[in-house]
Amino acid sequence: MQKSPEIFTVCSLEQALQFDGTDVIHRFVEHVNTPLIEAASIFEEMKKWLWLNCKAIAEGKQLKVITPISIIDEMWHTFILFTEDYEQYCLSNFGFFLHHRPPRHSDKVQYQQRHESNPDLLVAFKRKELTDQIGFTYDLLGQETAQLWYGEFSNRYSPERLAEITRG
Amino acid sequence: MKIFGATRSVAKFCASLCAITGSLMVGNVAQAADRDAAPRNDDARDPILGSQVNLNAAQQERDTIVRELADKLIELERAESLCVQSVGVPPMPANKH
Repeated sequence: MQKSPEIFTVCSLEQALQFDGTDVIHRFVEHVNTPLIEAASIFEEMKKWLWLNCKAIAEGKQLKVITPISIIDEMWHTFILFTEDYEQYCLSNFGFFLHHRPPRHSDKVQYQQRHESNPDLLVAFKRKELTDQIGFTYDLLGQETAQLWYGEFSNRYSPERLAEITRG
Repeated sequence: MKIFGATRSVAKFCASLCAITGSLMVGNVAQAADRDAAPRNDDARDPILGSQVNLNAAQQERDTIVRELADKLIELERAESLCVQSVGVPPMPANKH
């Protein structure tokens, strides 16, 4: 059973973007083969992603990390390694600790079963889910971000490319 | 003779003035006729309804972009058996963490 946060107030996007992620960015380039400037840009997108998740939670929605934005998820993992910084960031900007929750094995089994029993229905369901998430991103972060995350990133950070640039 | 000359000049001047005034009048009448003949588009002039029209256009553009991005991702998923990799964030109040 997922717990919802008690009353909380999500900060403005401008405030969420103020955090300086120098340490996180340098750590990121140690295990993902990207230029520093590109990593810094991914860090900015990650801060937007965290903020967007909190806005979604505030509206009773839940966003999912899908393949095109896996690179943002990678940066999120790196940020979480700095537990104190991450906790402080969440508490001061969102008022609660934003957890990361990868799918459990049972989720994957359930997905597979649904796919096998009715692939068309699953595609329709996913289309609706994707449209909602992309629309939410568009409405809160703008057209440019929606196109960057769900369009350009799907080419720039394909699963093959991610596998290539990720060290170890 | 000078008197006649002056009269001719005045007459020329008056004729020119009449021609100009006449053409202006004709122009005004033509404009008025155009105005009356043109279909009224109050929606476009109304600041409130006008902005509603713009909003609808923006909403349509937004919906189209969102749909295209979703369709492209669905196609990618079919091609690569891509699936949701991780699920974001059931939050927990910090004081209970």
